[in-house]
Amino acid sequence: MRKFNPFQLSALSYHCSVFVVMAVLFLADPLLSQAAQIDPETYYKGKSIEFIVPYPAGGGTDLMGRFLSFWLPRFIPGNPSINVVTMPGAGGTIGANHVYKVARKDGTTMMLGSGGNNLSGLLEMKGVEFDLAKMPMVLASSTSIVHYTKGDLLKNFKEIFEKEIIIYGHMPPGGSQTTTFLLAKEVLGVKTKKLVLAYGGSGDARRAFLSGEVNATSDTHIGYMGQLRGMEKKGEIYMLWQTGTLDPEGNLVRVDPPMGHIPSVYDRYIEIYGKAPTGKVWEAFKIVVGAVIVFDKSLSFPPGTPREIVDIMSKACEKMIKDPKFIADDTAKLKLNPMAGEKMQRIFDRFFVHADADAKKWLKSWMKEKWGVD
Amino acid sequence: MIEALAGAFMAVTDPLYLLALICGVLIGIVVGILPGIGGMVAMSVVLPFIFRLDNPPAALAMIIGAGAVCVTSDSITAILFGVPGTVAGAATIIDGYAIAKKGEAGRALGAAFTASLIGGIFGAFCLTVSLPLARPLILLMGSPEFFMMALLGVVSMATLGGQSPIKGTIAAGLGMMLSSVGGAPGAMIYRYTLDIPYLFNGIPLVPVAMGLFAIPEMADLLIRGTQIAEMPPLTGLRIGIRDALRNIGVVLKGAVIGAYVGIIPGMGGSVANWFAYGYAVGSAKDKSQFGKGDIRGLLGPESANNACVGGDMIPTILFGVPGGPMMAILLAAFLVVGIYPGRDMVTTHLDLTISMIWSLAIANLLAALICMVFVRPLSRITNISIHYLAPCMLMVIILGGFQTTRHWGDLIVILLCGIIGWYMKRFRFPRPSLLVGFVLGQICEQYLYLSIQRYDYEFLWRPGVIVIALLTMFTVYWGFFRMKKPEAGEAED
Repeated sequence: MRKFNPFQLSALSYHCSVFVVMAVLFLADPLLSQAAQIDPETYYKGKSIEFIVPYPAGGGTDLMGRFLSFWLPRFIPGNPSINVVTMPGAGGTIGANHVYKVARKDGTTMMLGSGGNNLSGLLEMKGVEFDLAKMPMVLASSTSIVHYTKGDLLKNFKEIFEKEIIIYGHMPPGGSQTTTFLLAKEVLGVKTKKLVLAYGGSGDARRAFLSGEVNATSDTHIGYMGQLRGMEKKGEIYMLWQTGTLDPEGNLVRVDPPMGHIPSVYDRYIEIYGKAPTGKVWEAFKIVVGAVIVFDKSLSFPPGTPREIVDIMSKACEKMIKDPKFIADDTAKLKLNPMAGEKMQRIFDRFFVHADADAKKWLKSWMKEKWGVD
Repeated sequence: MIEALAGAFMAVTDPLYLLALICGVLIGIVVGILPGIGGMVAMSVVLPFIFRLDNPPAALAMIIGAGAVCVTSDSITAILFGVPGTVAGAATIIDGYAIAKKGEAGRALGAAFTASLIGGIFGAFCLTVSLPLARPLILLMGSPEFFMMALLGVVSMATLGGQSPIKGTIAAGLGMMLSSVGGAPGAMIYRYTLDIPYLFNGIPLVPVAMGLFAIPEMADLLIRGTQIAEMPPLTGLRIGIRDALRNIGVVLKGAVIGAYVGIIPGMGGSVANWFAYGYAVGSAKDKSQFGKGDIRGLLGPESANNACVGGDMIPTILFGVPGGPMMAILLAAFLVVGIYPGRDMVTTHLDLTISMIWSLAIANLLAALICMVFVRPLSRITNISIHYLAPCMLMVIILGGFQTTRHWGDLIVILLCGIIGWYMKRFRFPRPSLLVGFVLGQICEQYLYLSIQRYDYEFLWRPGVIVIALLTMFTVYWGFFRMKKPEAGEAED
């Protein structure tokens, strides 16, 4: 039997106490850092922020990320650097799931998502494990969509309620433009002859339109400013309607400029029925407009990111979108129509967090049963 | 027109333009050499830079330069290692690598770069000529015709691509089956995804191509355990250039095929190079050397994949329809510099369009010259022992395949396709037929779906459809009954 050695015991107790202190520190660490004041002036100094873009490199969302990685750091105190990381797959779901479940919540990871994410999140499509309502949003970029037809197809607008003449072509149901078209058709009660829904994108659909394969299709404001405006002036195309956008009160309004003269779905409804649209189909239409038009692109944090950090970023975004140099660069290049701060927050709350449950339920089953979006 | 030419000339003589173009070309060359990754990656690498380049011709030159020359430098990887440098350059392996194994890597490289140069310039020429003509021509064709053309592509690769039309058909069918994994083209329905989110968008192309072509090659080399070339390399650059010029017919026909495939929306270099290879074999009188190192089997695809970029740009510029996968990034670049594809590109922005064509031509010229300078040191690589080379190559191959989605699923796809590819090689099933079936399967399905949605089965009576259908049937007949098979059609050694 070994002799009792007091020296050894003290070494043991020393190790034990060190372990205990470390364990306490370890357990208390999150509490301590939570309690520690986040100083907005220095928090981001020397840090680097990752923008997770859930789409392939070179696409529209990636492009916006690269654009922001140049501008946004100038407005964040401490001027952190921003890296854009693309994480494509499953129509944006893989990246969004990653940010929602795995990403760090210390403000160094953000998601730059798109309307596609919003729609799949809203409809709780296959594979979705994220809830956008719980992800604090700091910046949004909105788009607008016009649906148009051949210039000589209709003698007057009312004809499309009487005869089946429209052959509409675009991407499959679930895509922003097709979904808004199908919903507008449902709201207004428009008749169509055929729906050809498997084109690769707006360019492909426009090719089919020009070749006479379909006689109606749609495009965004970027496409409108490109080719469509000229064609409209020459009378080659006729604008059915624009989907419009939402104001902070939740009304559907026209996007102006560049297409302030094109009636929105709301205007068309009044034109036909003489009263304002109501009901769950209309509410569902507005929810979708919120998801894919107002928040066509959005920058958000993982759920549970401390409020102070969200505030720093939110203020930086607000400052950025008011900066004349940023505005000039954006107007020349991407035309993002950025939105931040209280106005954005109100629309976000109204259509994401507190979206009309009945309308949402109707939308989900309508998309699934009628259009096979699962 | 003259004003536009003058404007374009002013633009390309600007030093900033040349600097941007050279930067783009250098990036493109490096990306092209790296296995698997190609124009799409090169273009997305330079995309962030063009934001700050407030000179539209220079910005577009940079991105076009990067995208266009990957298919020149990719021959280096294909010829020296038997590994595709880009997916669009996989056909070069068959004869190019066989020539390198004989110790004539320099000759193969010289011929490949010359063919690339001629193909690239031809593509730019096609782009110029077709600007006024292409618009009505593309508008004449609709989804039914696109479907039939894709089907013709699959059928001709299946029946003419290998030694046995039956094995070819099985391989192409397997490719088409693999392409149906993931979201359906016409609805949000997921097929064969086993509820794995990675598979929702379908199996990505690059890991498939790397698995099919690169892994079996590395495995066989390691089993053999020597170096790639048995003999010390000859430089042979001049012989290669002479080879290309002597077979100018094959080079030009490859270029025509490349440009034409490029124009069809969605089809890019990844199918053009195989069509050109098939054509080079089919039209040759003496087929005995194909697969064992016939220089013509290298010239056709190399010329086609460069010409294809010019063809790809036609629908991109005229309609905003990406002519091939990497053109989606060119569309993004258009947005950055503030121009819109469409009719304006041949009217108000004609000068910019002309400067883009010149960028394409100059980039091809620069790339071929730069690559030729390095032929001598490069050809020595084939004498390094495979025990040093293979681990490095494998690492780069896997990185190249992995960068598509950066999801661990890519690694599994590389591994599984590697096993499939190795067995296909062993049992002489043509791997190109599988790859083309995989690429065109999606296009076939999408346009078939569109045709039926739009015209029901009446689309079958359209004249264009009937003509292409007759051509397809003739191809099947030819493949099964008439064509004399070369000894080793697909170079499976």
